Amino acid sequence: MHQTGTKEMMMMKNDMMIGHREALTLLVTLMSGQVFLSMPRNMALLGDTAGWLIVLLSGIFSLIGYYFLASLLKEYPGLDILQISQSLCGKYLGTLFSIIFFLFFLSISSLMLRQFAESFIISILPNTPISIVCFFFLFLLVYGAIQGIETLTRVAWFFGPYLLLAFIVTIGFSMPYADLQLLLPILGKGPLTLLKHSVFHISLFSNVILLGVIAPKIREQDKVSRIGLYSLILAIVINTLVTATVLITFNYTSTSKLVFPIFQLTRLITLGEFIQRTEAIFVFLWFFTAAILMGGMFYGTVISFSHSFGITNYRPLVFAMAILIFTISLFPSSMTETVDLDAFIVSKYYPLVTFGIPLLLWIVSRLKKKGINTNG
Amino acid sequence: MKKTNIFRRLFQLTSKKPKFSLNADSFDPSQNPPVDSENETGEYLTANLAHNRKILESIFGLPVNKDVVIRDFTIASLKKKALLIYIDGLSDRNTQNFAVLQPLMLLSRGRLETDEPIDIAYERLVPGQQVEKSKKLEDVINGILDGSTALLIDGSDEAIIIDTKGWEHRGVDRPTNEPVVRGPQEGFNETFRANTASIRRYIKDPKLITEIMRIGKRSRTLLALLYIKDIANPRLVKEVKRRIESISQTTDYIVETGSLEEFIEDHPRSLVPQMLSTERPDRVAAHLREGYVAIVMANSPFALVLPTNFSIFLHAAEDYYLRWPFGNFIRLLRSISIFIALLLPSFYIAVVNYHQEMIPTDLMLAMTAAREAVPFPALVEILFMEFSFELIREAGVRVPSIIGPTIGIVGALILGQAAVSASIVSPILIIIIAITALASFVVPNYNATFTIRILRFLFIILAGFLGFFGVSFGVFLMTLHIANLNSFGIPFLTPIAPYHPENKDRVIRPRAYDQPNRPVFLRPLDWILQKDISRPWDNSDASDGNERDDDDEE
Amino acid sequence: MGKKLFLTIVLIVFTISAEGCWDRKELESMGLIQALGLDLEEDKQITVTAMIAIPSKLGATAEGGGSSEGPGVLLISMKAPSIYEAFNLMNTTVNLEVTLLQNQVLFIGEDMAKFGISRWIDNLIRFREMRRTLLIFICKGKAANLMKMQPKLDLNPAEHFRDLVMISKRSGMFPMTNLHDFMRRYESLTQENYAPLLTEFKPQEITEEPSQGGESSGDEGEAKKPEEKKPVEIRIAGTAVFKGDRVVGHLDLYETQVLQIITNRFREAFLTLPDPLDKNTKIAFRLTTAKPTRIKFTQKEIPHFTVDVWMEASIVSIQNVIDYTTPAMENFLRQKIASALKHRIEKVIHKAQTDFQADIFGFGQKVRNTMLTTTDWERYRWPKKFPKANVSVNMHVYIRRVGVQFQPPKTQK
Repeated sequence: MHQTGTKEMMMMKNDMMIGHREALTLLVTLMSGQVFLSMPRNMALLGDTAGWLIVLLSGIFSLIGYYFLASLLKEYPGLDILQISQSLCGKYLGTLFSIIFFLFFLSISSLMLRQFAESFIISILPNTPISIVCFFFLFLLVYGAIQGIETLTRVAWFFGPYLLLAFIVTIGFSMPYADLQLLLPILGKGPLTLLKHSVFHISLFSNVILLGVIAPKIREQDKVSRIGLYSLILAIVINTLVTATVLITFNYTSTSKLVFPIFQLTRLITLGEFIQRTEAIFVFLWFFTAAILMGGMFYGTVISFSHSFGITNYRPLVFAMAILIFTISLFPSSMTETVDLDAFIVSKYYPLVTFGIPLLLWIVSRLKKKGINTNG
Repeated sequence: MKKTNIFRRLFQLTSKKPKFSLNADSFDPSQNPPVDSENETGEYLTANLAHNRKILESIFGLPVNKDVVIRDFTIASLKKKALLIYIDGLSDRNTQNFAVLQPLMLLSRGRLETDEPIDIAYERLVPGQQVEKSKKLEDVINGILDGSTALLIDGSDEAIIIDTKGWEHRGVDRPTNEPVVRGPQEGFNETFRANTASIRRYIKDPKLITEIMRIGKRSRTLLALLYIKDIANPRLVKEVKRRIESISQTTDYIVETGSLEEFIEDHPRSLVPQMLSTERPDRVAAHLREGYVAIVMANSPFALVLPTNFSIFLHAAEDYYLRWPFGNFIRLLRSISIFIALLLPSFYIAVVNYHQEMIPTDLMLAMTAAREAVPFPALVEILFMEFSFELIREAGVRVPSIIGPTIGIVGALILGQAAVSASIVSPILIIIIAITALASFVVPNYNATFTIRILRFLFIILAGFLGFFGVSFGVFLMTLHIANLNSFGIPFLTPIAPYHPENKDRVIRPRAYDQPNRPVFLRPLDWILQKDISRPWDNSDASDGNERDDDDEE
Repeated sequence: MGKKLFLTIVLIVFTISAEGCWDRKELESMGLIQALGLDLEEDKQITVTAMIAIPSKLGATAEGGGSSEGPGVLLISMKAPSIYEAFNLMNTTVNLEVTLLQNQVLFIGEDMAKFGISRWIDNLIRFREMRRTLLIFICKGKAANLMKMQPKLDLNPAEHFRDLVMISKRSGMFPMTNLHDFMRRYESLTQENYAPLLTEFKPQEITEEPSQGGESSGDEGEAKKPEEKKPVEIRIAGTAVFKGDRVVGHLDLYETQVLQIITNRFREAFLTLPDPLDKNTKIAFRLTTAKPTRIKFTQKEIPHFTVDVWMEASIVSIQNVIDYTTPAMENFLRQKIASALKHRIEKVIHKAQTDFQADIFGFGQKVRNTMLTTTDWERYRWPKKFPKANVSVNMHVYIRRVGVQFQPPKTQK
């Protein structure tokens, strides 16, 4: 195991850089992909009519948590969070942190893979075996990871405006069925419950940690923290809007029972007599978001694993990782188990990793600075 | 007697020997090493005319090779023997007779005896407009093969190569594959100099440099590399030259820019072309002015422009000659057509086989009623129709022009009416195929159409396999691949990704007066194209402030 | 390396695809159900009736065309413990795979509606082939019977129903309900459910008097002897009102108009009133909504609602020669219309409060808006409080236009 310094990292990454707009789009997609799964339903279950408020509040809390990550990245430009942890805490502790990150990314990747595959099977491909759907996704993940994260960000930017447009269209066309009054009573289950759930569910925005992994590759290093900030804000807006739209279209009682609310939303879209039952078109929006989300997380998995063990070229690892993720994604025996696991059991630990570890590192760096100041 | 003859002829009873064969045992590679002609003769001419003559005769295979002609004569004023050597058919008889032989044989008077006969001949006796002196055998051979005439004088180890090129060739014609309504109607032809001259007429800039190289050991094809010296990035030019020079001796025959493309492109196995091939000099000139590099080859009416980006699929010359709203209208039409050409058949399959709920009920009942009579599944139908259409397309290109119209009628009859009446295909499918075919003709580059044609089949199969899921998988995969392609260091999706806000010519083209910069991704030396206010007479329409992110400086 | 990889991939792809494409269905192998009917049997099994389209009759192609002899759909009924099992049973005789992909209408028979649909409602939303854009009708009698109808203006019966419901905008006489609205009302405490009521139509029907209101629907058809061979014709007869999951009564066509007015779904309709100055003749108006209905809620000892309705009326027909087209007369008419409508609205609200004790109008939503948390709302128990609520109605009617004629024509004799 040896430490990889900035120069070597740059040399082996082949000098490809990510632009700030591309990185922004990638992060926003990473954090918005979950609206396609059961997220609005989980929020409605927790907060009744104030599900969207839970999303908003947890977004605000995650902004606070993000501050630590951003200041770490600003202090150590050109290094990613794994290297920062190694340089601050030493070799062994740093490796431990990398392994923790690896486990985090691994669990997100496999659970997302399973959930997205299930979502496609339930809605449009009822008879296809799950391994086939997973195989297609894995193919894309492997291909994307071998080519590097830069390609994925370019694809994200390329599709970005269309994804946004499709989101807007979905929300816009649901308006005939929407009734704003359904958002009242505004406090849902009560303010204390709301706060409690918001704090425990900042895992919704935990995917922002990928910024920590791709930070050294961003061309405009001074914009890194702003990228994270803007992407968080945009993701908060999108998540809140979508949850609110689902709540005002289906009352909170129905929303808390829908398996994939957005799918049901798109099923309602009717424009006159001609455009009916066109939810299959939204498969594109859904698929692209899913592929980009999983691509980013998969990259995180591979990078953190290779960093933990000092492997410089991560590309041969990609195939093994893909198979590992596929195997793990098949652990939960049913879809309900997966949703439960993801939303309520495992996701409790995500914020510890993505906001807790940067907080810890930030404290350590502050202490070290103080130590240097007092000693020197 | 006759009967046995016929019998014998029909059945070849005597032996089974073929009439001729390249017997394997007669050919032993180790015994017949390839002949390296250079070692035979050395590199330089000698001062002895007879010796030179013998060298040249052995190189060209005279007297068996009747293409090369040697004309001996005496130059009166120098009192020396001389010879002309040239290739019959490639050199212009009149130029030789009147501009070379006549002055040397008849019109040179006086006594000019000297030790340097070649210098005298070069400076005073040979009135040709393009004359070269050389001591190297290689230059003489190349000159002769190009159509020039080589003049060797006894007593001098230098030769004069006089340009007497002239042969039968096609004139400057309309570009056959890239016609436009509005714009110049001239295209390239096979003559090297005519092509470079066409480009020169569009950019009368003294800094437009034409570097000439030869590639191919046996074809020795002339290749010109054009660029504008104070715009094009010197590293780009150096890289292109490096690639071309490195392949110039590795192969012996490169004669079309298409083959050259394969040798020097970054991703030869990809389905997407990485160089723009065009028949129009105005397009080449437009690219040169932005900082691109162009390659022109002799005998090839297609010039290459490199590097290129996704605009190869989308931009045509005419967009710039039309006014802004019209040009953009055509651009939008073209973008939509590309999607249609690529995805419409796969959409049809996906909807008909997997997502039937999308079809409005009446239409669906009509389609079902039509399909009940058809024995094949929809996927087979569409593959069959697509294949037949590709057949028609290829046949249409190769068919002799006499029966051309017949093919059109036959094709339409067979594929259209008869197939439907025989219930092999359903009528909706014919419409889909027709629209797809029309849409695929809208792509402005021949190479690019192949990408779309081949990918369309892949998409059909993917759609038949998994419906819209398969189609989105295919689109995503294709985008991943394209985002990763580099064409001479430029990512293929520039300027969309990586995003360059100053270069607005992506899908929609900006106004002609609204484009102050050359493409950033080429890193040109001269960055400014136009002043910020390109229409100074019009105070109200000062350009809308091109926002350049100050942080986008690279 | 490249070749081996390629071969491996090819092998994998072929192995996978050798199993076939799992979800691919050919169009001509699908039996498209256009309408679905559910009836409850005595042993709590259900009879599912499916209207399956026959493409060759319904699809209009260049050759053949839609032949109009005989029905364009195949009607088949099967008895089974659950809806989807019935499909399996249907596939024992129908050679096309029945599918709900293009289903547009759902009929619920009277038995099931009166018993309570709670057992089967989950069926309707869980399976992916059911869509929330389905139109729902409650049938008087057996759904299977009413589905035997054959439309005269349309070949496809489902289209007939769809168009019928779309036209409801013009008369306001029956509410358009799709499964989405139905489920929303079903699962919420703020509003009770309702759905259009379908009955058989016998052409010698008398029109009902609006001032009588009451249960004038549903009595036709019983007295005549049932004709097996003659195709059935249907008619929408108002609204069926639910309390919880079962039907407790119905509103007739005019009462349904009131329901539409209060729930803000009313667009336009014609209204006939006795002429205030001449009791033997009538005046007809065309009513349209001027502003959305506003409901205000204040909580006193009992919940108190104020309903404000704004309507515009245009005179359409005057049966006598009185000139109502002067501003003074219009003012006079306005008040008459307002009071007549107010009377109607109050009657319907009263009926809902006393006869049904079901808040079909959605007053509960206004109460809910004042709550802070959903726990408070759920503890409030609105359905119990509705019958005692106090509702006052304010009608605002404006007469804007009188058509293309000023004074009515008069003979000179």
